[in-house]
Amino acid sequence: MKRFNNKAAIRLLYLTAMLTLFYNCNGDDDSDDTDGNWVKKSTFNEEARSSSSAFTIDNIGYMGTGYDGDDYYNDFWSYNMDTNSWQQLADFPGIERSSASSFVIGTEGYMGTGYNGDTNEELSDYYKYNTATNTWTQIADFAGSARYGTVAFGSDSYGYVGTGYDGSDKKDFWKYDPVADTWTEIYGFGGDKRRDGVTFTIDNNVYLGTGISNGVYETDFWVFDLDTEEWTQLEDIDEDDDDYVERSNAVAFTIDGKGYVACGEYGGSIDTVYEYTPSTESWVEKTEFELYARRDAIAFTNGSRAFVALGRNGTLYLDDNMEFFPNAEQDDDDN
Amino acid sequence: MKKIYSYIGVFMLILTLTIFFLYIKNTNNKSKATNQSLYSLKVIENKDSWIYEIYKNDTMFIRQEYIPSAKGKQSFKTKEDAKKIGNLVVSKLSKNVFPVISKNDLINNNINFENK
Repeated sequence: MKRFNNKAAIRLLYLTAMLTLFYNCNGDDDSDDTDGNWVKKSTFNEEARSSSSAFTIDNIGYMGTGYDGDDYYNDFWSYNMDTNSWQQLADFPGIERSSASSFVIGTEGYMGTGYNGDTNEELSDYYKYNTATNTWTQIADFAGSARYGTVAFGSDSYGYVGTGYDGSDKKDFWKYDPVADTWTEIYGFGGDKRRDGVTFTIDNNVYLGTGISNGVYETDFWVFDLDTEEWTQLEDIDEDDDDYVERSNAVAFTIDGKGYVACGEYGGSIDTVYEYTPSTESWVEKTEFELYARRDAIAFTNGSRAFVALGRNGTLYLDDNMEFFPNAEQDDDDN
Repeated sequence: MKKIYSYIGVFMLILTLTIFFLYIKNTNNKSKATNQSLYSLKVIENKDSWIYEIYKNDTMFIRQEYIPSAKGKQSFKTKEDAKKIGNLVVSKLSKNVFPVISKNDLINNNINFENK
């Protein structure tokens, strides 16, 4: 009996040693490939949603609307990056919708356009959210055709909404002036028609890329100067054969002067992450999103921190919220 | 033959103990179901109004300073109002439903708020 015990103990010891070795090897492999680490933050629960719209003002991310596979939503939430907690705010006053657009002018958020599948309607109504009073005010309807899947971004003075899908793919851009409460078309975007593209903003430059049109993933890449309102074409995102930046329904964000494109759809849902450095105009692959690959997620970004949340993978609607640390070493224990 | 009986005896003893242990564990869970769930509610007074906080595994998950879904920075006027809506959020979370509070939820629970 005693001898048996000894044998068993030695076997156990061997097994533990092998497992430890194997685990260490694994860890080394991960950090050799790519940089960046994803850390799980305050998360909703299983019945989640995708195609919500989000914007960030200072350290607060705002998220609203979306679709959970059955219902369209018009609720609106804030996420506090410092306390890692959520709060439900005043309902978005328009009808429930998905794939809405949003942008920030100064310290006010704007949200509108989108799609409601119950009425099968593309939407053009637009609203302003005042963070100081937790109230919404309707502004002038988006002056382009009613649509969803647009890109949108803001400067200190104006908001911009363009591309998208109104029954067919679009390439027009519109500028919102909050003082006059008017939308005017701006010209000069020479890129392809598309829906579900993304933008990220670095200083006064807005970078636009990805998206899809007639089943083709767009590879052209553009920068818009917020001061001069001029578009310039950059090197295509598929220029380097090793990079697979092209996709649709992704999220994009900015951390410390670099742009990031994460997750999205390329054939199926994907989890890859690419970093763009403006000074060298080059892309580098980073640590992939560490939970389910997903499309139609949201991103909160204040320029120094970024979070990716919600979204879906096929018909599975997702709830988690992950913060990205682009220069940290990948770690499995914080997912 | 005797050996087999003793094996069966030991097996039965382990089985009984396991079942007994599981039974105890389950009844304990049931009696404290609301307190021991993943989520817990805390209602706090804040300058003549009430805030609720919802904790998930002891980490703050929702801090609700204003009445959810209502327009403007309206706060809960009584502890009972904050508690009712807080409990509703906890019950939605426990059922794995997105914890959205609608204006109808506020009306159905007789919450004192201005429906602008």
